[in-house]
Amino acid sequence: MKAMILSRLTAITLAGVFLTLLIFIVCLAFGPGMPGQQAISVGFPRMAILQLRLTRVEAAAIAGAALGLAGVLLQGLLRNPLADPFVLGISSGSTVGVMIWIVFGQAMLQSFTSSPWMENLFANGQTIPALVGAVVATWLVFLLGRRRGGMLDPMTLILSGVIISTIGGALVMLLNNLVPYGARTDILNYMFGYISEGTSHTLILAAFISFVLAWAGALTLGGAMNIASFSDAEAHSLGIQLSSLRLSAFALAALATAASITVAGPIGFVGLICPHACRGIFGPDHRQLFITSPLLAAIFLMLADTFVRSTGAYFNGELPVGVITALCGGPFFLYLLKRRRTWM
Amino acid sequence: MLMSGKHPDAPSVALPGGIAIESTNLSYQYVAGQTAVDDVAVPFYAGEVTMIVGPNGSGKSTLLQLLLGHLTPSAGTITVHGQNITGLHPLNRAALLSYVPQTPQVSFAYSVQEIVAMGYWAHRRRALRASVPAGDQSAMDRIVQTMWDLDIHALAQRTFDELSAGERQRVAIARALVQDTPIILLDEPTAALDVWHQLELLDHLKSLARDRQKAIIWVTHDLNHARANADRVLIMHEGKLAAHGNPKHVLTSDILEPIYRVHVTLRDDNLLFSRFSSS
Amino acid sequence: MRLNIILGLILVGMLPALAGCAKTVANKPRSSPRIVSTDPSATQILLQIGAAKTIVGVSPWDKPLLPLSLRHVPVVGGYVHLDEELVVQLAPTALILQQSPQRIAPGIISMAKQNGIRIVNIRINTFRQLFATTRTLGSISGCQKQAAAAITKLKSELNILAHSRPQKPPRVVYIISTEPIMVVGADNFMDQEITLAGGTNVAERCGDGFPTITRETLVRLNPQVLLISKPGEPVASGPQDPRLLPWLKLPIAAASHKRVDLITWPRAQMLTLHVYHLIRRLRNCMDAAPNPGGSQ
Repeated sequence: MKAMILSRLTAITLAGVFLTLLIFIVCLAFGPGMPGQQAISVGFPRMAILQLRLTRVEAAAIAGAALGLAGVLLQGLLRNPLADPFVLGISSGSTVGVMIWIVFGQAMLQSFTSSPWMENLFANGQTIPALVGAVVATWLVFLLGRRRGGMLDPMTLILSGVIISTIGGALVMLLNNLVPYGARTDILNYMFGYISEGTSHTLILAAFISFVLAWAGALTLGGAMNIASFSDAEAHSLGIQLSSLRLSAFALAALATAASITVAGPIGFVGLICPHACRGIFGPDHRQLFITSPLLAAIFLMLADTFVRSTGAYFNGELPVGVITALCGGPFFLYLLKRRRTWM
Repeated sequence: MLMSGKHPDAPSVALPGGIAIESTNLSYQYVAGQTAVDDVAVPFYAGEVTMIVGPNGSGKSTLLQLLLGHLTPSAGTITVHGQNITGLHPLNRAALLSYVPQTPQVSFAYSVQEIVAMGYWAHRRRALRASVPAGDQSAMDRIVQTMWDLDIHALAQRTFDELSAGERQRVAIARALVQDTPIILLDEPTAALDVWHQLELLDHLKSLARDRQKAIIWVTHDLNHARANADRVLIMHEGKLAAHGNPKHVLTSDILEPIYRVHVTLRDDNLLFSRFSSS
Repeated sequence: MRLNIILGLILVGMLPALAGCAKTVANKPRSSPRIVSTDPSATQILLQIGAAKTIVGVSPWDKPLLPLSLRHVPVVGGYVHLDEELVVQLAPTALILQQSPQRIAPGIISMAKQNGIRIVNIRINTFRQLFATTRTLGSISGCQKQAAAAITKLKSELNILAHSRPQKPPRVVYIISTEPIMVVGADNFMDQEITLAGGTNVAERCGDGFPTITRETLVRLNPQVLLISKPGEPVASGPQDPRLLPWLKLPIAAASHKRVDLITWPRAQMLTLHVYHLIRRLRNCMDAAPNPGGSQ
């Protein structure tokens, strides 16, 4: 059985990696054309433009893979198929971070501009405040989600997430009234999530390393995550240290989410739907999900982002990528839902 | 029909008739001031089927969770094969104790075979840590054999959520049996089973106790079942150990009447129950 | 989503359907005009035609732009959360909105009717609409003469600009929001400003209003001048300003000639009677010799 599972897993992994690389290259061949002359440009462009596309497709792949991973971890951790990084308030945390930065931080920019180090740090504007906000929200949810004895409890955790999310939403509305005139588009655009060609290479590298660390960690948890799908007492009897497993899964999910927020802001739906799609196609075994879901999510986000990137001419400007992830992901999700009788 | 099966890599067993697991001064409080288990000191023997009975809320299930090590005692200790349970590595604990819940729960659509195979996970992990061959082929045989034993082989590829309550319970029992531990804890395992499967399970567990010196600890509500089949009975009442010993000596109207607040009469070696008249 | 709507209204202006501009009710204003303005551009125009004394209520976006003498004026809310009770208390003669007529809440219309408040629904998305609105605001504030004078002045100023357009207008892209990049597209006052400032808005081809584009499109458009609107922010500190650096790295003519500028004027995204000064600044950005860093 081991040999059979391993060979199946190896085959899926190899096929998945190959497909991901193929889609990566295909995505590089699409882009917007010259406005007014050509709607979409197909084929490989000159170096200067190729570099911009490369940055963006890389960022999409990393952000997608990280979301796909975080989704599996959180759904497994919370035993809840509706969980994703954003149900846990991480997205609203990052938005609050950005808003606080816009309201209070930018006023301080002038004092920072004397220091070149600070200038470089904040050259990417919202990334660092977003990350700080996400980490603070995650930490709060984690503290609130613990029950007596320090063990993370799925139900308490998800409720804490919903509450932190709501409070974050209220703070966003509150801060919105304090934001200077003109800065509000930045926030709105941020709230939809956006992958930029302007992402710095340092950030992409940082996100990539965070994702790889989270991924490597998650791959060691596959079997244990399967057993954690049982009730606490059952999982305990089967040899799982639930408290440390949940702590690891939560920390890895936060790391992966941070990686994705760093390069793409809060993009919804990918982290929710990709684990489901993989469960529908390959079954609920986490050892497989930890490989298939990040790859599928990377492919999905690369394709969705390439679509919005290339079709601005048809939509009077570029669409937010969240529109496509929801519009394509939603019906596919419903199809899977229909095909299988149950998801639990 | 029932086969005890071959278990080539079974862990060492306690001496026949020796103490497999024992609690001393065991207490547990869910919330401060509400004691669910109160100063229980009781040994459980290898090779015996011990049944725990008691009214609702008497602390039976809590005691079981404590023995499992899932709940940490407020006071007192639990010793498994001579070791304190709190100091055991989770994988080693899983080699000693297996557990069958009243209603098994699975959050995702695993197949029956996947679930039964998860009983083997801890063993495999232990083998990996010790860098010894895990014996996966014999494990596969054991998984298939156990599914035959519990009459769920035909369901192997079905997902858990498609099963009836009785089938689910048998899957959970199979998972625990694949774990092949010297101590098996069961929380009303027959609640959803039909009579035929109840008798099968009983025979199977009895033979495991007799032939392989396993300690079977079984929570039940059925006093006649306990009287007829247990080697030893433990009566819980309001968190305390009310009585403990041979079922014929313990399950008597003198002991049961104040605990259950019903008339108990013995007829043809069967306990009969009737409500106290209102006068 | 609601935020989006608010912002869409503020920044992008209304749906491009209504050409009817300002709609006024032909009532005679009462003794002294009292105006509640929920539109920042309208408030600015009122200030610019000397009608500051008539302003009794403003929107939250107006607050930072008001002169000190008017900082005490209460905020009545904006497009979504208009504090009707406060409006009634202020007993204005006119309530200025910038909204498509279908979107004005029926409650506001009946409140205005009951309290004798005239709803003045304006629209300022082109220079022509600016003139019409200024006339309307002049009439409701009793400053018709000043309004007419301001219009004449602006028209002659714009005339000068129009006649001094450079022979070879540079290709310009004017960014109003950076992540993602939103640019000034076709058919709005900022597009007109670029033309009047002597440039060619090459992003006109990307769409009407304020389309979102990618850096790739920006590179393909290859502007000779790149303007980045950051209203209210500090002036660029030089070519090393972190807000300019990423743009100066792009393979575009504007970057190689160091013609990337921040427009930090607080009213840069509004159309008011002071637009001439803004356009002059824009023109400086365009026909100045290669100019590293900020222009202001």
